[in-house]
Amino acid sequence: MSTELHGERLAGFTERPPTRGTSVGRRARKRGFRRHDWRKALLFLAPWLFGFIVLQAYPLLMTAYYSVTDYNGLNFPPHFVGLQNYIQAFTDDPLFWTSVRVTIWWVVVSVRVTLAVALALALLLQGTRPGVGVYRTLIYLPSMVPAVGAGIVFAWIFNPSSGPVDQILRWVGFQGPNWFTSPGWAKPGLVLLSVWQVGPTMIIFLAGLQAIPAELLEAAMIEGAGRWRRFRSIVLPLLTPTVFFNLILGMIGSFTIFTQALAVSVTANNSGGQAGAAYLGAPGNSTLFYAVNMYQVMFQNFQFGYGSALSVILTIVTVLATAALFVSAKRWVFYGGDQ
Amino acid sequence: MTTTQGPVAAEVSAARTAGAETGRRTPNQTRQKPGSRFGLYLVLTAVAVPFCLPLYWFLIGVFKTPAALVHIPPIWFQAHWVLSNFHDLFSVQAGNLLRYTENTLYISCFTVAATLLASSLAAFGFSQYEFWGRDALFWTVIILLILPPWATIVPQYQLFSWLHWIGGFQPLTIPYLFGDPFSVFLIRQYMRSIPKDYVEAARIDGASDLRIWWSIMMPMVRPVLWVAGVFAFINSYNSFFAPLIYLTNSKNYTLALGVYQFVEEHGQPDIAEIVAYTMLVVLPLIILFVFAQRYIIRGVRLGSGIR
Repeated sequence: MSTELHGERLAGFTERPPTRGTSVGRRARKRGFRRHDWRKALLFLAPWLFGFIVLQAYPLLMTAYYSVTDYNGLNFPPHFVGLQNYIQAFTDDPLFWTSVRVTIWWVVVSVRVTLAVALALALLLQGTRPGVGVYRTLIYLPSMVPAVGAGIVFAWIFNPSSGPVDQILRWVGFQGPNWFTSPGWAKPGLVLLSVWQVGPTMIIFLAGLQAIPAELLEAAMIEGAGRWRRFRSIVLPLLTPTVFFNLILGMIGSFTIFTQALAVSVTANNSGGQAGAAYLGAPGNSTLFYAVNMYQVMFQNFQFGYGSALSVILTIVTVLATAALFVSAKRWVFYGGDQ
Repeated sequence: MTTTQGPVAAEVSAARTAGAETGRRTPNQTRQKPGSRFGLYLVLTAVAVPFCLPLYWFLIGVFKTPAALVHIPPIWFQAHWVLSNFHDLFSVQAGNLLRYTENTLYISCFTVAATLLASSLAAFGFSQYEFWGRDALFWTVIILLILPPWATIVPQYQLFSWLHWIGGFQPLTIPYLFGDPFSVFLIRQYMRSIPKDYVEAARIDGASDLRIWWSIMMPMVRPVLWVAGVFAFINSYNSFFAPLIYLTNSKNYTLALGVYQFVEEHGQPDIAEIVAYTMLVVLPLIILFVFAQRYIIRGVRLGSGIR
């Protein structure tokens, strides 16, 4: 034993490094490995640490600080105003509440719809049957379209008179809505846009489905379980970690929907009249999502103090909602094994 | 939220050997009657059509005359295919388009190189050393993924304006010199799956740690570098919010910002040019998808290793 340890220490001079798997070699290696690790690791982590402190940690603290000031980009150092910005948001800013309502609608509807569609698509497109790969590619392809481009294309094909979508609806006997130029239909139109770009969520579901042991399904079939029963009692429980992951990602992303909303609003509502930021949230503030409102507050009005308060509220809500999901996960997410 | 090496390593090797297109056979498909297969393809086609319709409309629309583009009722397959939309676009925007393409390429390529170098450095530090607080530090990387970028935007904007970077490319490129959380996560997971013996052997031979990172580790993690690189490119190419607030000088616009500003200025009367412009912005990514599909799908799947 001691010679092995010795061998490890003098490994540079001997021909034989300790073999992997012997417990002594492993222990010795671990000990030798640890000695100056902190300093060496720092060498590699230094750039990331610097970036983290300067671009994340410091700004995060400063955002909290600015949220209690009247900072407008010019008056530095800004005046301390206490909770004035928060009070203003909650009691004296109708646009804030509009953006909150619009965003809650969006989070509740779009996350459910996209998750359901992605799961249904994954169930349809799993397996190795010939040709299915082509369909997977076709359905994934729209997800590659940049958000701005997707917004422009959708505003255009959902045009009520010259677009194909309402034409199809007319063929089957419906009078299609005005979509992105009508306050009631702009958000559902954006949900369809999210569904169109559901590819990555679907791929993650496919990966989850692939990890389900075929033996389980075979055994259930032999026991006489039907398709629905197998899905309900085997596939879905084993898929809950994947559902959970997609739910977290989808929820966090949908809190800050921005680019598609902007592109759709501008393309559908700018009929050549006025240029500029007149189309934020159009039509009629129906797509004034939280992030769109924040953009307007911060970078159109340069109310950095008030904008910081809005982003603190968003951050707290995001963290709380994520934590709530993690707590609820204990009840419905099945991590296999003994639980 | 715990990250285990197992599933991700298995995922990596599965993706490496089998590619993205394989799936395990499930009883559903082994026991199927031949007749029901036709029904399945019918369903698949019915599902795929709405996903393809916008792209089809976009593709034929680019070659429609401006009158055909806004024709009521819509034209599903035009008789006259024209290139005049591109011609009209170039006649007013050629200089800008060239410039914006150049800007976009510069920003994207810089971002990819910086992200790969910085993130793999950090990933090496996180995966190859043991020290007090390592995992706590690593989890801050993951939390950075969760926090909305809005939480830090005002002080960042202020910092960049102190540095006189507003209007230039620096706010879009320099931050990536410090690594990007998603890439750090991906590369770290992959590095952990590489047997320690390689690093040990090199160390015994007297290689310095930096040397081990560059000459031993980097070649071995090349597959995940491709994945992280493709994602860094796509994210940079698509990024809209950061260019919107930082690129105040219209000479420095990227393509994504350029097309948006064009729509904002011109509106629907110039729909023909808008469609052509949008095609120029979208096409590079479609082409990228054709060539890098493997890496893109793998990246999406590896990203789901955070559980």
